[in-house]
Amino acid sequence: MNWTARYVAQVKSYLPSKDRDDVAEEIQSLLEDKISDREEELQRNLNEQETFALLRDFGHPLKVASAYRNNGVLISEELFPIYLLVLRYLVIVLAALYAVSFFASYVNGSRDLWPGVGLGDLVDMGTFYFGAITLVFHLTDRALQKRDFLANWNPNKLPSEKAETESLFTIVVTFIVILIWFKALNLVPVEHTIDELFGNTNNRLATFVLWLKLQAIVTLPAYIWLLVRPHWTPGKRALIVIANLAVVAGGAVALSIDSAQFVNVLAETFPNANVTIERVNVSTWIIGGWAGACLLGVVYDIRKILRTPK
Amino acid sequence: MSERIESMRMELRRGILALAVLLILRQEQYGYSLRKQLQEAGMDIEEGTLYPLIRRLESYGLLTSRWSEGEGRKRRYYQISAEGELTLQALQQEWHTLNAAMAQLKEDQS
Repeated sequence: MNWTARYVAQVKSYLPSKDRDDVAEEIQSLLEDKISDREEELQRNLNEQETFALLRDFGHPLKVASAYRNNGVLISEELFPIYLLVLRYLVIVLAALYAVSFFASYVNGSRDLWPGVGLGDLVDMGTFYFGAITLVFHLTDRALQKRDFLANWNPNKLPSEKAETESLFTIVVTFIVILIWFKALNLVPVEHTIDELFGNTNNRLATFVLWLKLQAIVTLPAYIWLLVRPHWTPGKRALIVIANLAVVAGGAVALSIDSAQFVNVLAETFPNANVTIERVNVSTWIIGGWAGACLLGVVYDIRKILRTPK
Repeated sequence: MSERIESMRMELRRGILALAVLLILRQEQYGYSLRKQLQEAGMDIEEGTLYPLIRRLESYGLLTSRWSEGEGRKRRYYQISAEGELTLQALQQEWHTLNAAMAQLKEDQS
């Protein structure tokens, strides 16, 4: 049995096609040198056990192949601790959501209150968020490396010691909540069209949800940036202002939709539901309150921008 | 020797491995003979570290290589390039500076 040939074939299978044959040929040659040197020492051919020992000494095929590869990393060493922290908080947040939803379904006697009621759903959600967070970190990492962010930092850009610093806990939890919120918004059937965005479909809920999605999309980069530099800057605040303005605009558009027309849309979508104008009017208050809260947020953030220490 | 000391020792060795390899490869060598020479000089480096390093140095343009048939088998021979020679001189200079700094630090301690 030619164990070195087997070994080399195994290493070869882990190598990139570009260098595969060349590296494999070199490893074969190195092993032959090593064996012949050992045989010279012993004045006889190596037995099977001695060959195994020699191959073990050379290293596991995967390890050897990995050393020859130009390995990239998914998340760099610098961002990895933050990435790990986000994943840890994700587990805590998901476990808390699971506990709340389970308790709620137990009290209510229903199992449909929250998509994560079942353990399988919890695993599905966990997998989704794990993938989403990994992707966000990987893309952030690549963007930072492209700009040589860490090497090109300038002490001039250090924030004032009076700058408002956000706690890592708040940033991480908010980041996770935005991701969860975005996924939850996707549960509402929405046509991602300009007509829906500007209320021409007369679906007040879908229009408002679309604007809420925009808010989440704009807020997320601000929090990713906060993860890297955890202090508030006018730029980051401006993103939050834009995000909140989207909800204010969305609220205005949604409330401009006539309630009677919205009732018709709901009746068409859910023919078995008892949709009345009184019930629909509740949505006016919810959307109005929501948009109003965001308007207060806009005022708050603009004041903060104006008071940012130079 | 504790595991931590062993790991620090290997890290220190890896740091100067490129310098040692460039120095030896002023004369053409094949991979295994290079390793033997390092071993004989007291630098026992894992094969999994040494051989990929040689290829990396070649990819940086610091070494040249050629396949050659000898003693009934094909071997890849490596030798330092002109750019490698410049790098070697810079690394040697750095090594002398570090040595001098260490000697000074030791002297200050005594």
